[in-house]
Amino acid sequence: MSNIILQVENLSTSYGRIPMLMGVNMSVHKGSVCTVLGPNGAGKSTLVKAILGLVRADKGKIIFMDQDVTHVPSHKRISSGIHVASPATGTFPKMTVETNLRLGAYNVDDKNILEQRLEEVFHSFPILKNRLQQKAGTLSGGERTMLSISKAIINDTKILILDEPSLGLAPIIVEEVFRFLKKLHDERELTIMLVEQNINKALSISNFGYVLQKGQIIYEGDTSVLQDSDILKNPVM
Amino acid sequence: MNFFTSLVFSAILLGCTYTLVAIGYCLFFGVLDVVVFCSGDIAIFGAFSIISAYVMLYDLGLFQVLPIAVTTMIILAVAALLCALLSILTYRVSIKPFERSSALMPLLSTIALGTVIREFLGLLFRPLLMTITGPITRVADPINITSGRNPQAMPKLIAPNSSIDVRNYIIIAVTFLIILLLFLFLNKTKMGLSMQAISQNKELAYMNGINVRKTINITFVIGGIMLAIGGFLLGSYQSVVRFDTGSLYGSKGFSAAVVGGLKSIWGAIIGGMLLGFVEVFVSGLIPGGTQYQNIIAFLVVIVFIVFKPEGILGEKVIEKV
Repeated sequence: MSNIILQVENLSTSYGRIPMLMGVNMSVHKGSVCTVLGPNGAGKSTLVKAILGLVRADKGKIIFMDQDVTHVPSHKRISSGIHVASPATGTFPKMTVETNLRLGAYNVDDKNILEQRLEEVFHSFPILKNRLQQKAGTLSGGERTMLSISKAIINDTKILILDEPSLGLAPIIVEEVFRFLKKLHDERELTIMLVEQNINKALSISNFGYVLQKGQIIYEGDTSVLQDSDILKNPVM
Repeated sequence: MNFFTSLVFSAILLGCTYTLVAIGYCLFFGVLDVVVFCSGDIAIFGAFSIISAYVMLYDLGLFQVLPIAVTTMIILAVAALLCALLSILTYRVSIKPFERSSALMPLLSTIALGTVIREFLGLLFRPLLMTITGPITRVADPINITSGRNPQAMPKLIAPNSSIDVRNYIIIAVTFLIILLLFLFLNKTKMGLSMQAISQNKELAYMNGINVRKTINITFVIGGIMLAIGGFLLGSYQSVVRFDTGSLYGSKGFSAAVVGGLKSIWGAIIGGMLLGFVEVFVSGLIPGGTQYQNIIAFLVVIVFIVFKPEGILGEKVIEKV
């Protein structure tokens, strides 16, 4: 097996007649933290949806663990290990925390494994254990972010895609979330693909970065290089 | 039973039959955000399936051999199966092809399909039942088939030898049992929770790895069975089935669901009961009110949606900018 866990080849998508992604190429290495930066409307969320199969690829391929999954239905891609945490929309507000977690672990059939993973999650986020019977909609922004990440990582996650984890959070909570992500990566050697607008935070924990603008990758490189490059000084970013 | 309690009792009975079809609308709308306008016709199709299954069992002479409970179960199972199939067919033929088009398309196509089902029932059941009228009337069967297109007498499957009151108690009990089972299913099983998840946020349901397609299909199976039971209870309550009852029954179920708040099962129950109460009390308290019961029932619906457009238990829809 190659070292690349997720590869996007020449991917193009569109909403109706409006092109969203135009020939995007990217690869995520196993065990790495890869970040995708870009302004609003650059196509970041579309890229995430295309990887999951929620948006149809007009052209190009998505290869996950050496399998071409371009035409594989979403639920199969997810059960094979691509999991997304999207703090902004990642929880069912009218359901309890417990139900949310159960639905997050939709593809985990073994009860013992699920219990064990839940324990791990509660160890990291003890607050969730106290709020099990509370509706997710009543949680604070930070707690909801933790819940949405928990929902993703209680699976047999091969790659965790985070869709703007810092969106709408107080800086101190953002700090906490990123600390947790770093720990998660270090302890579980989890591959993380971070889709962010918060450039500094994202670059601080990632090895490799892409910059997406108007549906195209305009820059890619190691984060150490990216950090100093002129492209991030562009006022649009 | 004095006059008032008997009115309340009838209202609950009628409300029960409306509730079931309203729940059907609710389930379908929940997973698809589409109003399946042929739900009422599917329910009446269920009632006709029961009549034909009954006639066929009678022809086979099974009523003399098997206890009534067993034959009733067979008949209901046949009807539930046929309704589930019709319901799945509805999804495949009149909803799924229009997934990417405007919301008007499935609306129109389900109305069209409803008409097809209705006329199909009208055409099919006259000749079929006419031919087997002979042997059935000979054995003094409770079914007596009036010639012409309709109505067809509904077999008295529920407690055939008891008084009307006992039968009605059983109708109410069956409705409550069905609702209870549905609640258990929705809140305790993975499939039920997935249905709720899709209803709340379809995209997130996909992201959680829920097999949305399969869940929608199962929703249609369950909805079809609910509708079959609804049609069965309506037929048992009215003791006749007309091929064209479906459109009115469907609009009442839909109204009940909307008045209650389209995505809430409790709302469907409240809406169904409300409609039942309005109709029964209008026909019971106003002299000659039977003629006006539908007029007044739908006027009440209009008043409700003017003052509470989101439904009794619905949430205000805030349009995202």
